[in-house]
Amino acid sequence: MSEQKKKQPITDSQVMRRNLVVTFVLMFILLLLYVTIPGYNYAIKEVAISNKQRIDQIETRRLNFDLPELRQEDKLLFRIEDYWYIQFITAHTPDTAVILLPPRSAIDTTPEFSQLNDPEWMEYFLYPRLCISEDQKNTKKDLYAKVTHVAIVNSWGYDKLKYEPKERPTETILPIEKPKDDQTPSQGTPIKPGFFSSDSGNHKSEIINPK
Amino acid sequence: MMAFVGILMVYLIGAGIMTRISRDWSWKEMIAFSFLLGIAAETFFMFICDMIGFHFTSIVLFFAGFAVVIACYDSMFAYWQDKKKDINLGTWSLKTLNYPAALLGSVILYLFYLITEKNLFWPTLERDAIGSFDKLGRVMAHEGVLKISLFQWNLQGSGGIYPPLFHGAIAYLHLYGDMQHKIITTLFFVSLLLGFYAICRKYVSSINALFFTLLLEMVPELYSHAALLLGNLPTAAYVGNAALVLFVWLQGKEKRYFILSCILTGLSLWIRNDTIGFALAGTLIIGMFATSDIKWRQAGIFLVSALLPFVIWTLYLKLKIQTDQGSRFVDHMGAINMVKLKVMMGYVLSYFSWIQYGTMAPGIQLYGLTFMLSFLVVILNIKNIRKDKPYILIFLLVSFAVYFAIFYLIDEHKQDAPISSLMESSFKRGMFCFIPPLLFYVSTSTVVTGLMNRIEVFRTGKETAPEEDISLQHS
Repeated sequence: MSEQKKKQPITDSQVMRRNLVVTFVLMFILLLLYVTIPGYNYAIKEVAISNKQRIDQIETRRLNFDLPELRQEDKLLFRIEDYWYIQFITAHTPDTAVILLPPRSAIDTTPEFSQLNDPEWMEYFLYPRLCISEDQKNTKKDLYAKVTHVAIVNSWGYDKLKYEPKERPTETILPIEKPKDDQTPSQGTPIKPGFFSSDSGNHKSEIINPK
Repeated sequence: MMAFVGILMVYLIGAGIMTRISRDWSWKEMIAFSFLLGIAAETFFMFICDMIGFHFTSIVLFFAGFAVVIACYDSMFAYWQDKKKDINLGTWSLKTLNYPAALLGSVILYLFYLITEKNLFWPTLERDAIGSFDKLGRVMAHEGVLKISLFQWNLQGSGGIYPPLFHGAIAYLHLYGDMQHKIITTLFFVSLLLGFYAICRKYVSSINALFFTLLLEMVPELYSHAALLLGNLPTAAYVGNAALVLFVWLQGKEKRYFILSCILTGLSLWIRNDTIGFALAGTLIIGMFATSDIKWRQAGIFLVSALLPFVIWTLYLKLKIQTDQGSRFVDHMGAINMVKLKVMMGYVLSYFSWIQYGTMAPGIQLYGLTFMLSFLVVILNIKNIRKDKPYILIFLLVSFAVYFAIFYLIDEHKQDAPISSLMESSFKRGMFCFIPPLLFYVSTSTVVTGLMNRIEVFRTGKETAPEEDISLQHS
């Protein structure tokens, strides 16, 4: 009798119940992995879910203020602290420019500009312009000799210019040679986006009067 | 929109090549591998254009790809005729639905959605991508050559000497004018996961295959890379799938898998040269475990086809770019540097465990349970170790030894980075390549398939496990 019972195929309802049991056990195992293994917790909570919440927050805020869809440049401004300055450089130099970047010593006290003297990193944004760091003046003499513009950062770089500029903002980009039309160039000052500044009224680079 | 045309062309080129090899591929295999082959073919076209001094553009690459599609049209059409019947949802009801598989599939898809959203939302932000890979891709697309102008001023970044598959793939999407070029990472991630699932599913139940696909997807460091524009995940897609199809060939003797493995191993060296250990390990296991009379000839064919891209790229670097990839290595190999060895061993132990070494997070944080679970299964399987796919373990051991030796031989001064820094970055990411073959071994091991068969018997109420549960060992 019992053998006969064993051989009887189980019904669809029994299959479903057994499937659900396995599913619950599996859910428990997955939950256990998530809770107990720090790597999985990090991957799911930090890498995936927190990021989704962040993206959702940004999008909700954008929609609340009726702003247009974020462009890549907007996102770069949001994630790369000195991107506002990089944008300023590209807007105020010709495609043929060779830009002198500050040495590490000029920016090491300003975390915001930590990547600014890395030519490999900067070239991504500045191409087709070329760039070279002041730290490389002895190793890349050929390129150093071709410099056309100086990236003024933290007031560094004025001594590289072959003329006296009208104004001395702490951050700007200026041609190394005085322009032929005999006009002292005034490139303006880069505007730092509001969300980087603790004081929303102070978005403009400080201007130091020429000596 | 144009990017979708470009991506479709990549899949069609790959499908054309796949159907020329054989028409027996499943849809899963076709989708997973055709992208890997198609995008590599496009970078070969770029390379050929560069060699003959012809600037590549989206139109040039489109027509080159189109020529391949036309050349393979008959086999693609025949494949479609053969396989279109497989595109169906089958018959299922709520009562007999495989709920555990549905749960696993849903989790895989949800995690995939989350990481893809992250990948596509943010622009390129990683140091290596900005300083090298994405920059190379953008400039290559702009100038239409592989040897871009930045080489003249040494502004190409550290990836400049790498073979062109990854940054060529980025260039390909830039050529189609789409800002969402980061989708390339997602496509490689799809190929990695789907290829793994397709191969696992040949031997094990859907629950088993999906569970280990989920474990592969959830490897924390790999998962975070699915939102970055770095070359390690794509390399793992090539190496992992090359290894899996080689194992399938060793087991089933189907020639198509041998051909595909030769191609994918070659492409592993067309994306990164430090994967050479996998080509050597593959050659060794073919020589040791293939059962045909011509196994050493097959091993030779495998090695030559794998090394061909390596030789081509080395010559290109030497003759055209005029740099030498060997220049990073130490030129004396006589004395053993015990200090360096000790540091490297410390890091390796950390990868495989929960032990912290240096400033790096331990293995349990980086790779989750992958290595610890695998070692546990190997120990539990010790009774069957000689007959239960020993070639996978030999493959992993040899390739790891070569990979370790490559890093040991790197000159820290020439590389401008101490070994601790290399172990915490490059070596750590390179470990991705070992994960798919290792998880495949675990998934198809006697221990795990035995356990999964019991679950299947309980779940379905059938006394014998379904046909697909029979492990490699028994087939």
